[in-house]
Amino acid sequence: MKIKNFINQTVIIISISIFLSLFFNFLRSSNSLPLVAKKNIIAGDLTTVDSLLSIDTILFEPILINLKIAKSMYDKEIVFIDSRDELEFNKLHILNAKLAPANPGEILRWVTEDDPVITYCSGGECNLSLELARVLMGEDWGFSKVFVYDGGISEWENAAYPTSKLNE
Amino acid sequence: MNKLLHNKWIILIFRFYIGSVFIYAGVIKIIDPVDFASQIQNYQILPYFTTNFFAIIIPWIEIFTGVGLIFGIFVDGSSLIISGMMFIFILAISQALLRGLSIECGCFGKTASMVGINTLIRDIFWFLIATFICFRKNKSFEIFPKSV
Repeated sequence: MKIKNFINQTVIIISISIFLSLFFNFLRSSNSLPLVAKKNIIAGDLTTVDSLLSIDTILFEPILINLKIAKSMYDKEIVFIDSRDELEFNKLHILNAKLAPANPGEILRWVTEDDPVITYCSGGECNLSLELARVLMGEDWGFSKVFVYDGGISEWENAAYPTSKLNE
Repeated sequence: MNKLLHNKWIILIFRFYIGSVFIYAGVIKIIDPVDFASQIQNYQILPYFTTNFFAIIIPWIEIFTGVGLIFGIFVDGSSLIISGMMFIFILAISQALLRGLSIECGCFGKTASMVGINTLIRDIFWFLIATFICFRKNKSFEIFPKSV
């Protein structure tokens, strides 16, 4: 087993793969990815909130929102959906938030497809809320306005906003 | 074990098997890189800004290594890379299980299973096969470099 063979071949394969993958990604017209993933988080004041919730505003994909906008929407009693599992939900969740059901369609027990909803998870690198939001706005469920509160429960709790635990 | 490592037919079958799996996995991910990037993000291991880069390059590495194993080109490098990738996947799945993350494996796009003990066992199995290929003593049916 010659180590040098392994290393040389590994370097060649990975180099060619990286070059061709980036080249193909650059060329493809649909489904290409930006090289650096960036979260586009909407910030703003009450005017922004009203604009986002306006019937005239059409969303084609979930919108990420910051703490201030999330709190404003919370005060307007927009439904929050917790996309984590039951254990984490029971430990701590945003007050009055609903735990995402296994079948996303069951969210229709609380809202209609035209009502705005906000998904969230633990914050930081957690992507479950965005995943759920994409499913809700996808072909199967057709929700028209889904927002993703990117800061998650950790930021909400740090801001001392209303939370709840199991048995409270 | 030494007998197995010399058995050119066992080695060839393993090469074809793992090579096919990886080519399939790579193609599925290239078709929908946005979905794959999202699945990488769900593991919550890599910094968010790097996830697109890995979503772009990983499928191509999978395809080239798979092709390499099937056609006998750079089998040493291909098997080493696959072993390395499987080892990383095993660690990623293990940490997801320990943290209780209920997420898709991301192994074969949207058709993939959820992360669980069965995906962990499957990845360990593939890791062992790829490592076996690394340590093979018989290099028949290899085009480049030509077998000694």
